[in-house]
Amino acid sequence: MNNRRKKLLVSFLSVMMSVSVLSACAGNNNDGVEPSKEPNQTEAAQTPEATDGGGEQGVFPIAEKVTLEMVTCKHPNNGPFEEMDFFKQYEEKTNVQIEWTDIEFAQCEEQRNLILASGELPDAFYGTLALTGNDVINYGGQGMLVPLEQYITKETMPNLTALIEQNPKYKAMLTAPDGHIYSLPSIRELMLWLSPDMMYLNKEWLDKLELAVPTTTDELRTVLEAFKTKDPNGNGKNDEIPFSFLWDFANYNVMGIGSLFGTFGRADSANHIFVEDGKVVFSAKEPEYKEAIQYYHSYFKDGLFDKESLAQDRNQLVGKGSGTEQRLGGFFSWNAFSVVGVDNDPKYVLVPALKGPNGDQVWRKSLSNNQGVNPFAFSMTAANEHPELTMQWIDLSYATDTSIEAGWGPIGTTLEDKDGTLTLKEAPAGLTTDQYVFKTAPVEAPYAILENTYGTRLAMADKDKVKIDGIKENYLPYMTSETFPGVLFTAEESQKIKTLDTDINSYVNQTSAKWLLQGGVDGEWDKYLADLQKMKVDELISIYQTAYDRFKSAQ
Amino acid sequence: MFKRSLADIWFDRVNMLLIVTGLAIIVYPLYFVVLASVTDPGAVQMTLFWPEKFSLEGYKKILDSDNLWVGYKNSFVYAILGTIINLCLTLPAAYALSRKDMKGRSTVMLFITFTMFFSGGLIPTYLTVKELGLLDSVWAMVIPNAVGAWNLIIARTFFQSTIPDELLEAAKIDGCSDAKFFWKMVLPLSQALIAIMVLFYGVAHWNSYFNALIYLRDQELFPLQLVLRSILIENQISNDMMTDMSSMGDQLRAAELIKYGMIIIAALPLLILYPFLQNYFVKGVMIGSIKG
Repeated sequence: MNNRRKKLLVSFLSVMMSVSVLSACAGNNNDGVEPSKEPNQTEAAQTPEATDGGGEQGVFPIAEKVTLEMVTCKHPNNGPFEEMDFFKQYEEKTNVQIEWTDIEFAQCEEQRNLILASGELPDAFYGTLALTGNDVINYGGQGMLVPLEQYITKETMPNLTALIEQNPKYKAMLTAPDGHIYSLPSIRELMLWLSPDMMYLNKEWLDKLELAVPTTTDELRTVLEAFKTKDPNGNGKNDEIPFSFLWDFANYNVMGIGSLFGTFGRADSANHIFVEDGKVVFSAKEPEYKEAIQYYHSYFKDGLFDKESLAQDRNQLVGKGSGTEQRLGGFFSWNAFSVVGVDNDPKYVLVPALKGPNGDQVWRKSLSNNQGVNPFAFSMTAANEHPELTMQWIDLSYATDTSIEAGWGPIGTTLEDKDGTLTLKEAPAGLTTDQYVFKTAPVEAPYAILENTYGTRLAMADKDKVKIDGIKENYLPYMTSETFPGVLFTAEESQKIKTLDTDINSYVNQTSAKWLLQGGVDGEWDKYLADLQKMKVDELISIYQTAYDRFKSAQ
Repeated sequence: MFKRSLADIWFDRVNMLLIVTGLAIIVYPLYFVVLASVTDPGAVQMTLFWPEKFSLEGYKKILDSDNLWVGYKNSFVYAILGTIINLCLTLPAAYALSRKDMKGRSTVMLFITFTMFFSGGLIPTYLTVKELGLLDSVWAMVIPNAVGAWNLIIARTFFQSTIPDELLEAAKIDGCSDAKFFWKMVLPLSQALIAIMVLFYGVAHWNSYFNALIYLRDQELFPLQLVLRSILIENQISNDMMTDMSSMGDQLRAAELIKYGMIIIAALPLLILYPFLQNYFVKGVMIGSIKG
């Protein structure tokens, strides 16, 4: 009896305690002004927050300096964050001082995990490299990161709120599966991302052999045969590689032949997941995939595709493309010079979406990174004692000009204003423009540059313009295969996808490589489909479907 | 001499063939690295036995790079300072534990052996180092793991088996103290052991990068191995779509260029160190204190 009573008392007490802890948390989150534990440092600083209607620039600069600790991971080209002109100006503007823990890129994963696991949290994580999507979802669910949707209001975050109101899709991209928003985005809305993969052929060789840029697969075949047999580099040796590409998962979407599969009606991607009319499709188990494999096997058989394509790594491909004596006829890449170097870049020409033997003409529309949106660019932790101020601080980064400065460096330093358009200035001697920008601004940071800013407020970089024009002209009209967009998965979903995907992908990858190289897809296709079933490909599809439906309904 | 039979001759020949094949398998990759380091990166794929396109551009880049030299200097400091600390702690401890007249030595040994099988784990260790204020300093590289349990056991066993009790007795009769005995008798008789310890600890310091990875943030303190790792890892970002692509090609090429040269430069000090120590192994074994 006595014992039981004791137990009751204990459980009662523990409930009481958790309630009081919870209410403390809730109070903390709701008004953002918590009773300060260290009054000496924080009291004065919080006065401006407490006064309401502090939107716009009105809050800043705050009366008394506040220091926030932030963790970030540096891009390899970044210098120390505290020395960046961008942040110096930011501090002047706001009177908020940031104490940076800027981790070197190569140490990022280990150091970030130590910080999270040891529980010694900073006030916020800054930049797209600081936290991964998994981190945000996991630690958000555990309460280490603070839900931010309560701060996304006209009063606290006028810039971001306006942005989301104009583009409701961004809200869906930011919302974690549990309905909360744990991170703010980095947005660089550019058409570039729609087709990371571009197909190139050696124009010099085409001209020499008096051939036109191919428009159909038949013409491509003729061109590659000529590259192989007619010694276009004129050195008397048969050392030409007509066409080469990459087959590994990490590089496939940029340097693989996924879009070339579109000549049979449906493109392919590294994880083979596409969305057609709201339904998720696994491309590598559809008949179009089989036809494409069968057809391109003949290219391998006749030596038109480089046999090493299926096993080589990026450096090997770059090795084939570089050098003064040209050996490479064609390839897939983000742009030509990243494979063949700046000197050879002009010698290569874009190949448009080809028409297949059955008249299909399809190019892949890559939506997996949401056209340049990274949802994990800024997160606030539960250790932050100035949540409201932090959110006001970061909201400034979503104003158009500050966004541009975060990505391209401060106006007047790296950028100059020419009739209302911002253009990159010449870098000081000894630095490339890129290096100069990365030294003065974080670049991989939370900000938003919308598509209509390019060409109006911000001059578009030449290489971007070249690529976008190329996409518009050659690929955009044929982009009917849409990849799976960048959707946030629950921890459980991503775990399951990881398990299923690893098996399925390596099986598809190896089997298809074998078929391309040795043929035999006809005889083995049925067994292949049965094996995929055994590996639960349907479950994989349904996980993606659930996540996609949730994504659609959040918009 | 007696005549060698046909079987003997063939035995020798087959033997020779196997040894040469084995040697080739081991030596070729090393040779390839040397070769690749003096070849134009574009031509490395085609290189087999001699440089396809000779180029010292890679070494030039290495000699010009500040980061690498800072790393080189740091690695030297950590290896030398770390090894000295290791020896100062390991040798006296091992000797003390080798003495049968030390009280409670089996308990101490038990605690030391325990750490070989169980450890606090990464995060508690990290927190300890952090609370001790060692983070981001030279000391984080040399103080944690200052004594290796395995090395301590080797040293103890060595003392137990090579320093006879009679020697201690003789010295004691002559009025020698324990400390003096350790300094004047044990250490000079243990050159082989010291050489081995220097090699074990030194190589471990030289090759280690993980401690640096988690305890250091300041690039000025990075050891060579971490600098190397950074160069290789920073290449991987080129797959990231968010990166500006223009400098990517150059960066990739530069990294390819210095990769092989760096391997050679990083391995060089140990290659130089080894023959000197080997000399000691032989001497140490040959010179005994008690003859016959």
